[in-house]
Amino acid sequence: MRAKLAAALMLAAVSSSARPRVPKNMPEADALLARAFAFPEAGCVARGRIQFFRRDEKPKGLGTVVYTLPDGRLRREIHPRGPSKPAALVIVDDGREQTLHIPKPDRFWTGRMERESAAVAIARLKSIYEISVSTGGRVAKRRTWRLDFRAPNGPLRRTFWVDRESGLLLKTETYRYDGAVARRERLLRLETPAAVEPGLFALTASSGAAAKPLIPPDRLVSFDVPVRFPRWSPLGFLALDARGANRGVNIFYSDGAANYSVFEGPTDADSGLNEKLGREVRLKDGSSARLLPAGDGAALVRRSAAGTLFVVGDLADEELVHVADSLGAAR
Amino acid sequence: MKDEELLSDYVDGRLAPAANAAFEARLKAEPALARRARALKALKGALSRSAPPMPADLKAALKREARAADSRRRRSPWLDSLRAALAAPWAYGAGAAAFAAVGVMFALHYEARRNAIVPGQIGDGIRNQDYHDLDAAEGLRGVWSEDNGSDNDEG
Repeated sequence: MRAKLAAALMLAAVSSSARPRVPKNMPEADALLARAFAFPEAGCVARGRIQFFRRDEKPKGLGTVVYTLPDGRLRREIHPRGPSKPAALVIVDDGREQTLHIPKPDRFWTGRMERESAAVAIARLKSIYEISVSTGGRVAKRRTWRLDFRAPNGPLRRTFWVDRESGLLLKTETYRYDGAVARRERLLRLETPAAVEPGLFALTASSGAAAKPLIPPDRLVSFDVPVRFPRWSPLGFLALDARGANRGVNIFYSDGAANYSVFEGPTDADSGLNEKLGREVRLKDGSSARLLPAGDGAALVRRSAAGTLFVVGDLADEELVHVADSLGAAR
Repeated sequence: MKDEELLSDYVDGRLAPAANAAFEARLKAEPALARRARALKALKGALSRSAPPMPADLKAALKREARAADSRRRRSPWLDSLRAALAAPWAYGAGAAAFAAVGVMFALHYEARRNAIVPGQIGDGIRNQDYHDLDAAEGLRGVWSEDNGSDNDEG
């Protein structure tokens, strides 16, 4: 009898200690995401860092200074050699139009890059990930909540750290399929409310250099293959090259470290990937696609009677889907 | 740090020397951990072999452009000679004649190209041609620098 009682007590103790401790004020994922995607309610200036990791290569990094206004205007300066040195790249986004300026050699790209609503962005995240909330550590000296984004029954793909107090998104990490960090973006210092000069959000060509279109116009490339450029690309990426390949057309994008490519071609185009891996996702036009590993990065493959689409490279899963969605219906 | 994180950092060569030595000592003592490390290394090898690299011809084009940009930056000796020649009084007449000749050649070349347009243009009327933005490639190259990869909160 005494032995049975001891065993019962031990079992009770194990089950209670194995149960994760959930803070009473732990927010729901939806509420946390809604706050993370909202712009700060006052002007904000933040200094941050972006790191990019590729297998067998030294990590790369850059410093950022970000200015935002409550109406959604954003300016991101890239300072490779510290915030006191001149910016190597400046991006201004007012929610409809985006302008990218590289001071050396003084080149501008500008165009309509409509920012989708927070509700649409959150719906996409929820449609492709299992999301869980836990307590995060401190980021920029602030206590955070941690949001983990997993492929359903699969590996961890992304993590967000959200400021418990302000709801600001302070840090993100994107992971490779082997679990290693592929990209880390974090804020180091944050000032809000801050006096932000509205003139910072007007970028004009100082030397009179004509701005190139941020989204190049659709055209015919080699062998008269029609190419259509995605209407959305992650911040800081530019189209470097588009050409005919494998009876289709391949567009190559880069932000200087991370790359991705968009291929549209015939129904039997070979991706060179194991398309049985990964998971199925539904695109905005109702078509079905697969998200799967591709070398160091990830890929989205859509095969339909109209043709094939591959989006392959160093992007997060929801960015692959967003690029594919911006192209519209399969053709 | 959890074993999974340590394993990942170890396989990626991102552990500090002391941590790396300590982890290798553990690998010798723990066969199960060593097996996982071997499996992760094998997976890493397999994935890197199937990685989609930057197209070779694009890489070659970017290198060519970088070399061209370098040579443009270097001051050419013939440019100095030209500057010296232009200082001479007769140089203005010769320069005007050369400029006119180049203008005529350009006009003839443009007319020939205009007549040779291939039908089937789309969008904004740009003719069929591959798209290259070498300004973007050159500009973005200087944006990133080497990083220690640490996740220290410097705030």
